[in-house]
Amino acid sequence: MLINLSPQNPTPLYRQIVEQIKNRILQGELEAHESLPSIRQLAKELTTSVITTKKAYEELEREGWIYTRAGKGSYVAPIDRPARHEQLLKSLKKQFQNLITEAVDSGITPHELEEAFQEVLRRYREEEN
Amino acid sequence: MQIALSMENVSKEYPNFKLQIASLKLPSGSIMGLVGPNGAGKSTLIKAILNLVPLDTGRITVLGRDHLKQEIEVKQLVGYVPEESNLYEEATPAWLGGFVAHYYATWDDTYYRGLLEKFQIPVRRKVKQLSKGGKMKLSLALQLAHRPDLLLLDEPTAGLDPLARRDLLQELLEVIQDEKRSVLFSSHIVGDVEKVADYVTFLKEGSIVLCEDKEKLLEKWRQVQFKVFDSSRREEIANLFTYGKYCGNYFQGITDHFDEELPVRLKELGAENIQAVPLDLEKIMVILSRGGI
Repeated sequence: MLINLSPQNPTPLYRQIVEQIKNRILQGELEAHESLPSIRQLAKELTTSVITTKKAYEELEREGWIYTRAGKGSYVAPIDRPARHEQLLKSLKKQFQNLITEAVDSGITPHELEEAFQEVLRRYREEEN
Repeated sequence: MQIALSMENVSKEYPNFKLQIASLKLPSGSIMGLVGPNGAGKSTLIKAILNLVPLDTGRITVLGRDHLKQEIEVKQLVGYVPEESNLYEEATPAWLGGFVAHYYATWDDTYYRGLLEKFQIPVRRKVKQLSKGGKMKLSLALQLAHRPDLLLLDEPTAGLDPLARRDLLQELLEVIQDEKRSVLFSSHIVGDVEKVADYVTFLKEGSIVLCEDKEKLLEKWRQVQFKVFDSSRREEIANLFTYGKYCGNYFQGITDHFDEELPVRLKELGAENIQAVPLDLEKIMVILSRGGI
């Protein structure tokens, strides 16, 4: 499995693994019920510790992206697209929340924020067309 | 969970140094990195497991076997690569393989030849003609080839070029593909420990300052900085940190028990512009060695 870990990236390594596997699942590159490498194999492949890959798989399982059969290994879970969409929106809102708090903390008013958001969105739409 | 290595109340006193390990446990199937400044007792700890350093007090077991009462059995289960090459300078890798094979019931000659090839060690060249890295890799091959359940390595990556270091770390990960086998290695190249170790043990002046699951360690340690204008709260805020200092209205602190609650609490106490950044193992080690920031 092709995963690129960057130690310079401030995102923890286990989180980088989680994100990359998640993206592969969302893009359909990894299909439902496809088997994943064992935590030990993956650790060796990435020259990282077993505890890191173990944590990544636990996180993926907790978030419902994969399932594990005791003694057999881990597999890609089927995606419930509408539920996933809902979840993505929820996580997006949380990111907005953090961004807003940070902006307000550094002295930007909610009104200015709204205008900035609209402007960025408008530019994005123009580029799309 | 099986325990590959256990040390209880171990102590050994020298005129200027005392090794004192209350408790250390390494679960099978994992890699533990032993870090700490020079003279912290890393080599002494490793040697004690093999009874190369006789203890004053305490008990050591390898896979449940007492390191004194079942010393020979323990030595069969352990592979030990010392810091300095102790191989006969005049011998060749081929001859050494035959020599070491006599001592181990589990010697796997095909595996040994495979390792020599993989590590690019010429079978017929004398030890004295090998580079420092070459000698290290040869020692490692000799110890891997009897398939030990516990591999002990003292500074294995010191003096190796980046490529050879990567090969070596890969080989350690190969060892623990078998969940029954484990590795304990000391290193002052903290980046190597951060890469492959599951557990990190930090030694200072003969004692364990910290021994933890690496992921938990990296998660719990954070450097936090913010501004505080309310001077009546300064002390209360500083007390939330393991280490910290004020620089005008700025506070810079280190915590070893970070969670989501901390920024919330800091905000309640009047902190502004809170930034929390993760620390790598090297920085954590420097902070622990100095006992401050």
